[in-house]
Amino acid sequence: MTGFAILLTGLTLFNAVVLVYFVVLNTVYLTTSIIAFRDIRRYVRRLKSLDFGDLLSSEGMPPVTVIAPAFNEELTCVESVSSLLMLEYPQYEVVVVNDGSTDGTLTQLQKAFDLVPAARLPTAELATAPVRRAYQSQRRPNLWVIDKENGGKSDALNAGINLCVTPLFCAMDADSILERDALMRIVRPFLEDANTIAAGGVVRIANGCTIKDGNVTGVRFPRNLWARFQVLEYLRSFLAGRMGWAVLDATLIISGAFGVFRRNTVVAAGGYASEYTSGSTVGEDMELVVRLHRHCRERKIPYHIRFVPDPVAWTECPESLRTLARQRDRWQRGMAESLLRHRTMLFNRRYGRIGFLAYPYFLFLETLGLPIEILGYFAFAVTVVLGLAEPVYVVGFFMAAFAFGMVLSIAAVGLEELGFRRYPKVGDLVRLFVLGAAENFGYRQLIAFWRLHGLISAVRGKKHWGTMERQGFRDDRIKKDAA
Amino acid sequence: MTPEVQEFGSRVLLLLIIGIALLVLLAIGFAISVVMLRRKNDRTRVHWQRLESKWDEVLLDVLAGARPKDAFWEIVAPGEQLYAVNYVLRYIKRVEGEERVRLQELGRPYLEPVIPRMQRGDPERRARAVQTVGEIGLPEHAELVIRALDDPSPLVAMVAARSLARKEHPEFIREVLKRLHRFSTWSRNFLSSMLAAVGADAMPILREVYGDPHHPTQVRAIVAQALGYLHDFGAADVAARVLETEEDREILAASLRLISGVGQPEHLPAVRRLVTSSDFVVRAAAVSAIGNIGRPDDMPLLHTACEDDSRWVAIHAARALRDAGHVDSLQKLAASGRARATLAMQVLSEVDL
Repeated sequence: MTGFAILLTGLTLFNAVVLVYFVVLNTVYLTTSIIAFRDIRRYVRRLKSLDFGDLLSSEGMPPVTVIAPAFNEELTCVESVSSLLMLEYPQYEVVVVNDGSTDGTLTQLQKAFDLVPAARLPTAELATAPVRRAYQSQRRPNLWVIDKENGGKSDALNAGINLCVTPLFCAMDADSILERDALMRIVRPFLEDANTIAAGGVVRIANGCTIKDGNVTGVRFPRNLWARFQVLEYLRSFLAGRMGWAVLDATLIISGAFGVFRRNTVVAAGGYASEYTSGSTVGEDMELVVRLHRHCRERKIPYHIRFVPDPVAWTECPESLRTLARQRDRWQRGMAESLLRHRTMLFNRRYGRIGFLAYPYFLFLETLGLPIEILGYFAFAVTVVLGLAEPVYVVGFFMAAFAFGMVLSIAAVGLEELGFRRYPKVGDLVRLFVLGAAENFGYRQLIAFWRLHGLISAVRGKKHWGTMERQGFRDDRIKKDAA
Repeated sequence: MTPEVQEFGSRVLLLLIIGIALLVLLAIGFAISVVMLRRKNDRTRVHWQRLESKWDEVLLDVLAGARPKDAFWEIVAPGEQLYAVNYVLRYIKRVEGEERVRLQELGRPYLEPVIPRMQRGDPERRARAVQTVGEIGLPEHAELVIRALDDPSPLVAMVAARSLARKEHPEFIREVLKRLHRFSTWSRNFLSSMLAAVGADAMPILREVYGDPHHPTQVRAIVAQALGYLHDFGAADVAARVLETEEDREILAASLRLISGVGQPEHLPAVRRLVTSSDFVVRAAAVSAIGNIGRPDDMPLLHTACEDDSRWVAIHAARALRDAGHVDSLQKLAASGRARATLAMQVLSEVDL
């Protein structure tokens, strides 16, 4: 066999592998979209018969603690906390954890909310970096600020959990904006099923939106092209992906930007992974959910982890390629680390559908599939350049990929239209369709490349969060170093 | 290239073409559906706006007594019956008393097309129909709503229960209580709150169920909590009896919380016994009750409980001491440097939510 023949055979075989990967991955996406379609339709009808106004006035609503870690947020912290204090919920506390900020975050909060030192007995003993002091607001008694040494986001969350006295807590990013009724909506699964241990809400892109008094008052498309692509991506990810997996009772990810958890269960599972607990990870949100599955299944505790498609947290997404690259790199590293830590779950009967469905999907398709995808692009290019494939196959394959991508994007737009209609203008609908087509020409490939980079970093053991540049919800340009 | 390879290539190409065609058709189909859905949503919105502008003024006049009910019925066209019932339903949830009754009368003639939906279609549709009939059609259609309590869907059953557990119709609470075990997965606080919504008229029935050992303990615990929400002083005697006879953690804790709210010193012996329970949930509820209804000679129990191994028991005991006016002893504990000093400091400084 000549060298050329070996190359030809190798390329043909590899292209076949890429083709199978591509078909399987997209079929899974399509399946979750179809499942989500059925469930969002039902969910919207269900909301009509379960009156939220009634629930809000009900004494039966469980108290919730909103834990917001803050690191060097002096420009936005007062506005963010004010917004949290305006949530529509009968009984809740806000615990801001100042994670060793080196700027004036604590001073700003002290001034704005008249904070005074106050004793607060820990209700759990998750190991954290030393807590310096707890403060309570004299103006808003349900606001507490915990000042501690820097330990990272998961460590700050653990410090908040230690001082949480309510049965549920809401973990969020300090710079996200929760819609006023978001807590009330996300708590619903906990009312309906006492075995619910966690619920995730939807994260939407705030870039371009009008924000007044810490509330999103006008939903608009971002001007920045990269942010626009992310609007569509988030719709696909939350409404099609997470909704679909939740229907299968196999949710593995609850976004760190917005999730509600049962405190007892999280404490029993060991809290968030940090360098003081089970070892730090950049994907603390996914790691916790995977660990909760493991904890409950190993102890045969009946449980459910839910996804609720209508409570919304608005967040600012990256507008520069550099920041976007770092974000996706970090997300992929987080996923890889979480999967690696809990590898014992793979095809293990003990973990049921998590071990046989969700875990293999995330491992084989969302993690190990990345090298196949990226190498697939190169192999495809080599095949074309060397003239090893008939042009008709090349065009055909490209068209199939494009059409599949379009189907999935349009399906996600359909899910949004079916249930939530946050983008009311006709122009928005057209924009979403155009974005669905345009993202196939470079954006998807870039994302795949950055994710592969993240995977390689995870294999190398890189732990740093990287720098996140934000425009901020105010005019001020903010640079946040999420160390 | 051999003929076999060529034939294989042709087959692959054919499959590819079929796949692409299917995907393109699917994409076009989805896109058309989305556009149609958008148009339908827009049309519905506009239609609703039109109906609302037509009905709003008349409805407000009818509610104010300025026009007879006929004035509203006259402007509802035959094809608008379902819209009219939904329209009335929207308002009915926001009002109480006379206005609610008047709205029910306005909506009642339009229930006819809704009633068959209570037993037809998917659970969400049935639930919506049950909710509509439950809000507008009681007591005339009570039998149908009660039947919905046995619907195979928990959602429909819950909607029926919430419709029946209303102040205006305390007579239906017994039916709800009979099926309360169906809602075992629901939050207990939520269920208690639902029962308490019926108000004082439900107290005798709730007391009866609470004191009856033939009912499941979970149900009795929920009922005890509802009685607590209703501040039913008459239930304290039942609670004291329950404390003497039951061992289940949930019912004991619920009974202690009830006594804590409505008990009298004569109920103390049953409570004191549980301050040393091996279950921290029961101990915590017992020290709270002691704090609320205890006598000065009970305070040593609370002092001891402040040093309890369980921080929950300790914090309840410290709060009980504070509420009983024993701030001095808490201040001493706070200054002592002992294990529970922080707890004492917290309790001394905390402001209730």
